[in-house]
Amino acid sequence: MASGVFNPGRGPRPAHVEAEMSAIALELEALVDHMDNEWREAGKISTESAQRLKDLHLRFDALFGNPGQSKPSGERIR
Amino acid sequence: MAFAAELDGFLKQCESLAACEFATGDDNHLGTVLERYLRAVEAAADTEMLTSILLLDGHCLRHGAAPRLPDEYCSAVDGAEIGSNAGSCGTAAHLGRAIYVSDIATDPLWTDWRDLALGHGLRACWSTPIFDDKQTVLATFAIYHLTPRSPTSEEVRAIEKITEHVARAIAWSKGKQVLAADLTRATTRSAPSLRLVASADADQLSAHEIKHEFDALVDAIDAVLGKLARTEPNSFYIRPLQQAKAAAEKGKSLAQGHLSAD
Repeated sequence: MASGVFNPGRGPRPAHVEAEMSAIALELEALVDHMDNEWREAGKISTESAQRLKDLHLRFDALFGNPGQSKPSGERIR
Repeated sequence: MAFAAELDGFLKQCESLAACEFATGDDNHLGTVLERYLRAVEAAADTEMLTSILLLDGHCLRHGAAPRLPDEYCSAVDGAEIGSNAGSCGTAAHLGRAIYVSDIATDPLWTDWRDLALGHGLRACWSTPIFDDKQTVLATFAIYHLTPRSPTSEEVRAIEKITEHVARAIAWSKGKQVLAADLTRATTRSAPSLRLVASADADQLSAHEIKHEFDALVDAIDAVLGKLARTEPNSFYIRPLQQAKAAAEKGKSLAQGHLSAD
């Protein structure tokens, strides 16, 4: 590899990953508690909670897909 | 072996999300979807690699996604004409067959693009055309390496699997004529998110659906933990991953409890 020209570096910086992953973990814990309450009180899960679960999964997916090194590649085919 | 066992799971997750997004109009931005696939592929790779997808537009290749290739390189390739001597991707799209160039520095297919590629440290490029169901070339999927090398038979099989998934995603985005059969197949196989949203529309989320969503999340976390255990056992983010997994397991257990009670 041509030194100094391109550093492929794998993955986002650990500090960033750790912070975001910690946030996801905390939000997931809170969401699970909230869902437990919904189940007990309403007998079903609200669409809002379901969406939050989906969003957390998306954030997790994005995090370990290396967003820190990402560029908005999709912009060119919008 | 170039790809870890997680590849299958990662691809299915991507397909699940893509099916959901295209079906609901939540986000039908193809570039975002394709980039997610490529990140998943790179995350599952045991060796250093960079990936790209170029979309065929007439006789030109347009940038689709390339999470870690340099912007300058992507911009230069964007709009390149296909042909019989047009690098790996341009040639693969033109001939409709895979072109595996093991050493860009010496391969005549790269004559016009050699300086650009080598300037960015790229030494090998394996490109595979992506077809629609009528065998028309839609795009190319490429894997770049920073050292000269050829794919193993296992890697070729993995590439075939990846291109099948990407072909479906492109077909979905093109098709407002989304094939119901494709969606059904994806949903049945691995799309808890799609079923979750579909049910959410009806405001009738069942414990079964929630459990599937937590199942998928636990599997995803496990896949990352498994990879980290092999590659970075002292990683800073193992602890929050384990914390998230515990929460997801709790959610799964709660859903299971409600399933049992029903």
